[in-house]
Amino acid sequence: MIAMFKKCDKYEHLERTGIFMKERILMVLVLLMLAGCLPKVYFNQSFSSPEKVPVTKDGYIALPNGENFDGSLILETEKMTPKDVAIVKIHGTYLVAADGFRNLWAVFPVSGDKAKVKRVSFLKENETFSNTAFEVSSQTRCVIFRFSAESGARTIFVDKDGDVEEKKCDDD
Amino acid sequence: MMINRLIAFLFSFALIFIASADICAQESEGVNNLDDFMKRAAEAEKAEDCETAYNLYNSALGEVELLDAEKYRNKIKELRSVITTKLYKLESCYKACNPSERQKVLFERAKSLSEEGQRKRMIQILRRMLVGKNEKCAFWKKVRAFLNTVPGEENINENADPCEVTSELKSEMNAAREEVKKLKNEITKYTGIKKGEFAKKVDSLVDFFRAVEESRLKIFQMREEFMDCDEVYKSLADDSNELKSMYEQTKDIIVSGYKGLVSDMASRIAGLKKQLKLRDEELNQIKDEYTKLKTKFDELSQFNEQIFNDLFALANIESMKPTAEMQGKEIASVFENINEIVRDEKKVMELMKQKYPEYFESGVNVEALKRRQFVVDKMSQILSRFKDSPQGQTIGYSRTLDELNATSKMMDSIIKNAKVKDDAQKGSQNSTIMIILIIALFIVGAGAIVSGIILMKRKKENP
Repeated sequence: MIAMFKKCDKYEHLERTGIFMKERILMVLVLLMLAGCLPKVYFNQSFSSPEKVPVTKDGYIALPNGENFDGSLILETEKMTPKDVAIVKIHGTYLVAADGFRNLWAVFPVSGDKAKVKRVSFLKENETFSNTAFEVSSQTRCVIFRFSAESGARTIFVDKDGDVEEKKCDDD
Repeated sequence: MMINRLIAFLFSFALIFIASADICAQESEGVNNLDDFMKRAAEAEKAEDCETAYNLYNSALGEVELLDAEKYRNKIKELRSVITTKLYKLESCYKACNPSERQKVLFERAKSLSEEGQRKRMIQILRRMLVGKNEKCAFWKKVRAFLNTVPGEENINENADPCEVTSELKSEMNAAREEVKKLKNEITKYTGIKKGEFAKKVDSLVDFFRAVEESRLKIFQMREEFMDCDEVYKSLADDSNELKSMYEQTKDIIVSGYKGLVSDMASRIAGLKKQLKLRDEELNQIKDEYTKLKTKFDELSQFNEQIFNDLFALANIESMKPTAEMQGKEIASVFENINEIVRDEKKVMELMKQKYPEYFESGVNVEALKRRQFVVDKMSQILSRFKDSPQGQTIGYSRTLDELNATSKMMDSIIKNAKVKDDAQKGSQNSTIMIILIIALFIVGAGAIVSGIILMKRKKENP
């Protein structure tokens, strides 16, 4: 029966941190020391092609590989829940956009299951995106973001910091 | 006492413990199912069996919805989003796994061809159907399995052109296309059809429509059999489209023709309706008139009856009622022979005096009796007019009439007799006056002679 209880808590045991706090702190310190000494390799954290993924009723957005994040902050700010969003990863940073949004969003994973979110605003007031599409090119280190707004069809370059340039990519 | 309480407490605790363990076991089972579905779905996805993967992810989503919402709040959201994305990505592949209605029909057609012994044609259809299909999908797997069960299938060259048209099929196809041409020429006969001609041509038009439909179905079936063979399909599709347009055209002609007929009929019906309405109004008018007349007639009949009743009562009062003596008592009788009675003047006078004493107070008042006779005659005349009416059937009607007539006759007899007497009386009166006058004249003459003599004597005495 105790085993059954343990099984029951399968999804919670990761969040139970209070009992072994001292040991954990010690372990993190050891890991940090070790990390400084570990060898580094090149790890491309960019999508080879952008994705279009659905948004659930809870406001969660998931990638086909199973990664997911809580997009409710974004949706609350945009005051809408689109059917799907365009998403692309550029050097570890996720860029999110959707038709009807007024902003472009950059999501920076930090540590563990946490991420920071940056709002990138460059549209005029009351303008919204339509026909949004990310494009990845081997010619640039930025993501090419194509969309239409009231001013017409536009193309901009977005880098891993979420910075936007109209004509060229700053990172190139 | 203490022991009892302790036992009760332990028992309750045990129950709660078992119940919680059961709930947890159920939850654990749910989680296990979910993990199982996710694992199998991922495996199917890897194996490019999108149909199975899609169905399993769907089942997994169902399991997620069954999880304890409070306990697994965040996990549910994550799983829901992950599975939703999986379903989103697999959807197009999953949809391609499901055959269209056309494909289902074609598969059935292929099966029927197999039963008809047209194995080669069936194999061709199935091979064409399988081109570019994911044979991991249930339907396409079934098609492949059916194809493989055909005896001798292994012997057929897999590299053979699936779009090859056999000579047998070619001749069938040519015949069908010839039929299309014939129909194309024939339709001109009906395109300019005039309104009045439709009724005459409707039968042949319907036959033509059926021929077009039959040909269209035949060509359509052939076209579907070569669905993925562009070259053959295109020409058949052109014919099929042409037939479809002919079909629509003929349908329009028939429909507009029938509409014309219907509208004519409707206008005729409207005219008829109008006539009927007028007729109805006329009838109503006649009916009203009839009702009025009937009411009037009824009123008149009633009035007539009242008059008759009054007249009948009056006649009975005015007429003489003969009586007969039986065993010393007077009873009502009838006038058997009125002429005989009239001849007996004395009897008549007796009867009349009895009935109308006012006319015999000082002799016979002939004038008054005459007036009375006139009234009685008129009464008889009016009453006789009811002879043929229902009132004529009244009990005592004939008798009353007879009595009136007898009364009149009796009055007449009295009046006549009274007149004769009166004339005689008048004659005797006149001779008396004459005698008186003669005597008077004699006296006057004698006086005159005496006076003359006296005067002559005086003249002689006094000259």
